Amino acid sequence: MGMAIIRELNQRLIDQISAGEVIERPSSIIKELLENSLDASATQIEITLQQSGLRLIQLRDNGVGIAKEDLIMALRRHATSKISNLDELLAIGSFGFRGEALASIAAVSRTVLTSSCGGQSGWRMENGTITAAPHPQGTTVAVSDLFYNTPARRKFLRSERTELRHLLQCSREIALSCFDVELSITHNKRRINHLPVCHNDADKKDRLAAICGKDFITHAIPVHQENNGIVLEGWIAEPAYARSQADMFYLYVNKRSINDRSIYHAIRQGYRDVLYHDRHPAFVLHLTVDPATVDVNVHPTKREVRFTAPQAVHSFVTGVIQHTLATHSPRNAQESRQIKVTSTDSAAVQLRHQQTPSLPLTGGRADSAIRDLNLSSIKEKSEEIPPLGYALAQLKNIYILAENAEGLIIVDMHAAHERITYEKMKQEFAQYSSIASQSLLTPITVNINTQEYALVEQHSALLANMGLEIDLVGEEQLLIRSYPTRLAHDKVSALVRDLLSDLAQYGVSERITDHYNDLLSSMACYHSIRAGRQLTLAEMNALLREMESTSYSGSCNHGRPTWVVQSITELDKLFLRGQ
Amino acid sequence: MKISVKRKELIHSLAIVNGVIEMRQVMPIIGNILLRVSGERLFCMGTDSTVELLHSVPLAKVDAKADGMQTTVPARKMMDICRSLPDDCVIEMVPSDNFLQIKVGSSHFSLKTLPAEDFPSMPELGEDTMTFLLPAPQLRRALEQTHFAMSKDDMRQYLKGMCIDVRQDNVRFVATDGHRLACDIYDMKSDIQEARQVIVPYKAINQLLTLLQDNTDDITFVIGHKQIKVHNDHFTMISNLIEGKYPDYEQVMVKEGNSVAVITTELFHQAVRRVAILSTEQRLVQLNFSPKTVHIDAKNTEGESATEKIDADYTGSEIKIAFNANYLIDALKAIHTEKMCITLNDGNTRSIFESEKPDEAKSSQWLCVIMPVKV
Repeated sequence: MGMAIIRELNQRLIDQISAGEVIERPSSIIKELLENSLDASATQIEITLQQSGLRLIQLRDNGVGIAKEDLIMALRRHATSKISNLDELLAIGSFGFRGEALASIAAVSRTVLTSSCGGQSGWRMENGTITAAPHPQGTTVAVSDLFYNTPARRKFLRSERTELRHLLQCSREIALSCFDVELSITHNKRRINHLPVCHNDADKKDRLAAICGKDFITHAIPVHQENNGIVLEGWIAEPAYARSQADMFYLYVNKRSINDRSIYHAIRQGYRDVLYHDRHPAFVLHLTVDPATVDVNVHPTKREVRFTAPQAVHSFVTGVIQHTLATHSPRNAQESRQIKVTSTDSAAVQLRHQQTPSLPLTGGRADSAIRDLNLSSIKEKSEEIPPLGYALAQLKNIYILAENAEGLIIVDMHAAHERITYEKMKQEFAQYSSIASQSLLTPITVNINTQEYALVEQHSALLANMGLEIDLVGEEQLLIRSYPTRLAHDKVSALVRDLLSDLAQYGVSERITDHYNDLLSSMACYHSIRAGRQLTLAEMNALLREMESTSYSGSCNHGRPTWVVQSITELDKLFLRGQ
Repeated sequence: MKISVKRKELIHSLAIVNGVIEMRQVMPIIGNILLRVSGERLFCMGTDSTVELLHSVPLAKVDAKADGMQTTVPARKMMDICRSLPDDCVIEMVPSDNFLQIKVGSSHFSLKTLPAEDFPSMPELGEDTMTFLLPAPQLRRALEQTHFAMSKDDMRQYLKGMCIDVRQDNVRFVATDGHRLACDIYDMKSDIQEARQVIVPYKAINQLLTLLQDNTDDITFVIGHKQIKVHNDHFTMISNLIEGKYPDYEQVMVKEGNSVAVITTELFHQAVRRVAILSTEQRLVQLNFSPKTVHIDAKNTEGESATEKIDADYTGSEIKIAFNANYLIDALKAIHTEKMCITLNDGNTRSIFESEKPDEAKSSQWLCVIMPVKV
């Protein structure tokens, strides 16, 4: 083979290569087109697909539209109406900014652009020529024969079903960031998704239910917190709803769907010691920050972001999640469930209204049992039934059965008591303990790398505050001269390493606190009542009242749920009553 | 061919040998006990591949045909059988193909055997060994006063054992877990020319302590480069040594301070025990030394507290120092004199615990160094 000559690539090839970075598969097109529509302030978007988008992806919106003279520019690389100088790049409020999307799409498919703006008649742009075409206000982009000119890329596409799944996932992600937009999707002439505009919280919950499932919304806790211009809002699932895979989380920064390790970590930190084993939390969260404090131009697909103050964002997010979960008492849970009932199922509401008056303490055999046992205390304020109700009996000496306004409450008494003991211990621990650290006769040597060396130097004061006395020996070793007495001896060096890696990644580390909490948690388990212990009604009621006033009482230290409710409606269903 | 042994004697031997055998085994034969008849005695041997123990009992009736017979049987089952038999019976054992028949009165057991030839025994100690003799009671005391400081869970293997440091005119037993160190120096006259320092694993030391409970004879130490052999007429223990260099322990035995408190050992011991009841899980107790008195304080995470005041012969400046109560109790238990002394420097550096006067009953010196907890 002769020597290859270096020559400049032709423009078409350059376009195809860089399009490869942005347009990976049909779902990338949907993402780019949807974001364009949102940037164009559309409130109605219709997507039409054929063959999972391989044959046709058509998106029609009612946004501002593109003027005739701009149509030709729209398909050019680095042509955009969204920013015009560097200052605007540094404070991006729109999704797009690179001016690559349409050019990239056009480079790998046959793209037809039809648009009308400002009440003028529409124009169509096809193969570089513009012709008049009637079109209502807004833009339609039709993308057909995707990758017809890049067979290599076409080969890497998966089955139609897989590609459709990706497409829908991508549109769902965006749908959860724009509740004020109506979105409908038609595939092979069949409408498969229709999400109306959300006017209120109930509508939003409907959209959430449509996307994340009804289960999610049943277990969702609303979040809304603001601090120093950072806002975190959305829904997080109760710990008991945690998933075995990290497959249900929607995270947005300034409405842009992102996949950021550091924020995900912050959320998990907020969930620590309420999550079962290696389970993953489910959530839909929007983080809103000043656009100037976040850099979205980090990655071609814009899935990663960088904050100017990552530590502040991290601790804010962790704090909010922690606070939300801690204050999520049985009372709140009851309220949120009730809202759900009224919003999603009007038949259930009816049923509920018919039954509510008779529910609390009139009629029924179970009620009379309660009346005998607890009536004196209830009578005085019979309207005020506590959220977890009053104990009826113990089942197999494992579960407590209680009745509240909603129906039947079943409590795992060990799990519940464990959480109560744990939270008490944590409080006492915070109040009375000081950091004591055991000095060593012979220091423990840990080999480190240069990055770790720098971290130890930088954070020496922080480490000393944690009770770790560390000396650096050269750039490759550190000596631990004393460590907190609560740490197990054989775990110290591994812990110091983990701690340093946390500091490197997130700038904060809760390793040592986590370790203490682990210890307290196993002590709490030891000091709590076990299954098999018989309780009197007075004891059971006392436990229920304690649960109501304890943080995180919905799940035990290991993340298992402590109580469940079987509402009268659910029980009625079991017996086909009123059907 | 019959092996007869008194149950009372065999059970003792089996219990000792079972101490080294691990119950869960990948190689079944290591879970077995080796039985060998030699002359008028029955030898029982067990091993875990790092420690090997041989213990013997006299035969109740000598059967010349059985001399030299050897086999192996599951250790645990053999012991459970012996334990369940009446105290004063005689156990008769007859080996047959792959089984050992055990007969006592009307009871009959048949235990599966594995060939004795397959039983792994430790290699010989080899050339260049060092031998010396120690009286059993003194050895026992030296081990009792130091073994508690060995580490059980350290990543550093060399701390999971006891250092035996042999010098020309003394032998030192040293144990440390990095938090405290105990050292016993036993003066002895021997013809040893060179010094040698070895680390004997935790398990072997504990096994030796058990063996010394009822032994009064002199104990012979043979120290090689890879193994140590400890024996007398009743038993032989061979253990692998832990490789590695023991920390320079003499450096930490140097007294840093000059504030000395003399306290009645038993009073101090009991006071620490009582106060520690209300300490945290980490067993933290605080000692406040002031002229003539020591205050011992503890508090826990529930806000409860305990305090005790004891008299002390102390003239130094006021010192506040905190310790792990377990470390204090271990050290105080090892002191057998009426009074003990603590040498302190300040609240942040090591302190040294000793008997008030060198114990005259035995020609040895002992001390324990404990690192404080910084509060």
